[in-house]
Amino acid sequence: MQTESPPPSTPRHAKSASEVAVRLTKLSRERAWNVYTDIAWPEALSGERYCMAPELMSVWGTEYWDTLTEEQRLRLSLYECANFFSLTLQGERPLVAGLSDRLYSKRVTPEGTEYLHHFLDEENKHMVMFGMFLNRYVGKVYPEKKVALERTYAKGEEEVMFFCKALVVEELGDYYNIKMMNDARLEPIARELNDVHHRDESRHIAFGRLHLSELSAHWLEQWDDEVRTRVQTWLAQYLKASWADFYNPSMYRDAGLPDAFKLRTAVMAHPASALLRNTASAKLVRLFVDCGLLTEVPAL
Amino acid sequence: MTGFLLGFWPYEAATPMHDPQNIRAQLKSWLLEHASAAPPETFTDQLPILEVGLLNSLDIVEFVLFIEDLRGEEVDTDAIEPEVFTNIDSLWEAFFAPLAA
Repeated sequence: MQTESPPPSTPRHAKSASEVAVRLTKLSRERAWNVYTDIAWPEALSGERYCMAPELMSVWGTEYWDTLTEEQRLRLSLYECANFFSLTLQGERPLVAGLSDRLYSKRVTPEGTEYLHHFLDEENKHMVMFGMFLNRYVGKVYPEKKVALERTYAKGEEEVMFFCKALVVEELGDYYNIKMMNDARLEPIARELNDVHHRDESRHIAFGRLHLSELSAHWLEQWDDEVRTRVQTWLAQYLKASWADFYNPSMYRDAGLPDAFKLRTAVMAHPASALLRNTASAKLVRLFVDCGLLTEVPAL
Repeated sequence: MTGFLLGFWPYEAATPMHDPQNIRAQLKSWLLEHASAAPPETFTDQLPILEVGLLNSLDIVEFVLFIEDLRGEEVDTDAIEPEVFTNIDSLWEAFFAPLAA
């Protein structure tokens, strides 16, 4: 999707992000939906079903899970879901800002801009949707704890980082969405939101993967070793930091579990949670390694 | 605390806010343990922790959660400026001094 020619390593038969953007634009128009009218919001959650699939909950597979009553598990599942939806919403905020900034810029082709309009529209609707769930049933959106520090970038560095961040929030989220969108144990509204989100995200991911492949092929060749290593180091750390957000002490506190911070530390260190992180990240990490943005599979 | 949690956390339990030396020591201890940069020869309370690489933008979320645990209450990151992460003195002033007063 860059204005420059595709890198020589791109196979002749492979479609460019621009070509795929045309098809994705068509699909987005055919599958357009209304966030205000297409979702039937119940007055309240039943409280008898999970909001997060047990196998995806942070404490699943640990000894701590066994100590919880069913009532505690159900309550924790609401706050784990709230954290997941908050993380997605908070990740979509800078994504929307960045997509908007790229519209009609030289960083994207006209076909790309056309698709980014839909990408942006859909991301905005996701934020509305998750915000409605969180405000109705939880009473809040979990805030993010990030603090922006000023720094300088090499040419192309911020662009590559932006699309890496976009893929991380989308691919990790999509792993959860796919697992939960047909799970009959879940509150129907939680199931529905995962389903709705997945339908749009599958297109965003298709575009993002191709676009990032083209960007990385272009820029990795131009950067010197220092910049290349800096980006690779950052990406490994960013992935790890993104996973850490899934273990928010606030959700444990809200669920009434004691020693929230210690619980977080213990759960993150447990092999069962490492297994989930590695499994859920496998496809994404493979892409990053194939693109040369990671030199090896990072320890997550 | 359940048995599952025992032995996982190397830091002391919530520290009284009237003990600034203990708080400062725990902040330093966390930074030294988590930093990817080489530890400084001397870690004074004025050492610029961002400049020397003891803290980077991706560490900050973890560090804020640790500070919340020490404070016993959450931190509103929208309400703070990046300058509070300059050194141990600025961290104390921003996050702990108001609670100790």
